[in-house]
Amino acid sequence: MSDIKPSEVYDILKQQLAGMESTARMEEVGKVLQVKDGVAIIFGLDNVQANELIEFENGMMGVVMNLEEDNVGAVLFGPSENIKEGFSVKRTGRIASVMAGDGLLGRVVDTLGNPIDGKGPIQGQLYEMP
Amino acid sequence: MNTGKISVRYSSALYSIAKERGEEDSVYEQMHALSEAFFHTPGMSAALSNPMYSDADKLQLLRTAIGAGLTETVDQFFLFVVKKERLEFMPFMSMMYQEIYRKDKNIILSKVITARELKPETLKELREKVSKTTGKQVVMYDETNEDLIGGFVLELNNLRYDASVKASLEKIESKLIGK
Repeated sequence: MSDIKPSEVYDILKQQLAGMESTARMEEVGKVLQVKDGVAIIFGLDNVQANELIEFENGMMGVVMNLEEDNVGAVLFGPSENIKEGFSVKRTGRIASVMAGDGLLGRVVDTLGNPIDGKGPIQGQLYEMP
Repeated sequence: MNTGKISVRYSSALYSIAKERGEEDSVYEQMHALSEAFFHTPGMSAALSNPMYSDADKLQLLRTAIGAGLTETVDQFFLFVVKKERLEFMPFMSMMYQEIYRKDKNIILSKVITARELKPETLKELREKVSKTTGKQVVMYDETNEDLIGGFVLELNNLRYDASVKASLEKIESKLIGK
């Protein structure tokens, strides 16, 4: 077995991490007030946009559907049981969209367009819709 | 659903009355205790909109959540909300009251989370720095969470600045796996 030189590993890591933003940024966050029937009502997120993707503290995603004066309503992309009152949630700045292209034919994807059929990433040119 | 309109109107009215009576600080503490109860007691807010429970039961639930610090002003407010059949909006009203109070008093709510406990003088220094930067009076809470590994997380009202080691490692992980 050939020896792996530390400098080679360093070069690969450096290449992989190129362009990564290392400084922290201010994020806008809210708190879950109510959860039921696949919808979370969140206090805060004053500047969130309609159809924007939001991320809960456990990694689950949701999309903002309802904008009210003091709260927003978001549809959850996962089971309601995994989200509890008091969970923090942050804006992603991305409007919900899916990647579309010929590579999707015959594939099985989740609500965010990620392949879940075990056949690897979606191939070919993809277009963001909408 | 006019959750926003209803909760803003009720909480604004409560603030006006509390201020007239010189009780706005006390009511703020009670609303804070109530909102914390909603966040940390699963199913409490759902119980308020559940028709299986009587108004008396729901009222008792709210009174218990605030505990010994309940004042007549807040109790009268609860009775009024029950009468108007708006109990399901109570979680929003409690949060909105705090927002209105902090805006009127020019206060910013802040929390600093670190992997190890901060010394009181460090917390004081941080509070003064945030106050100087924002130009507002700062109410700062501190919390310890060893999962952060190092660094800190600073929350200012609805903004969060995550400079923890844990967040940095997660960024590196996302970059490496191409997330």
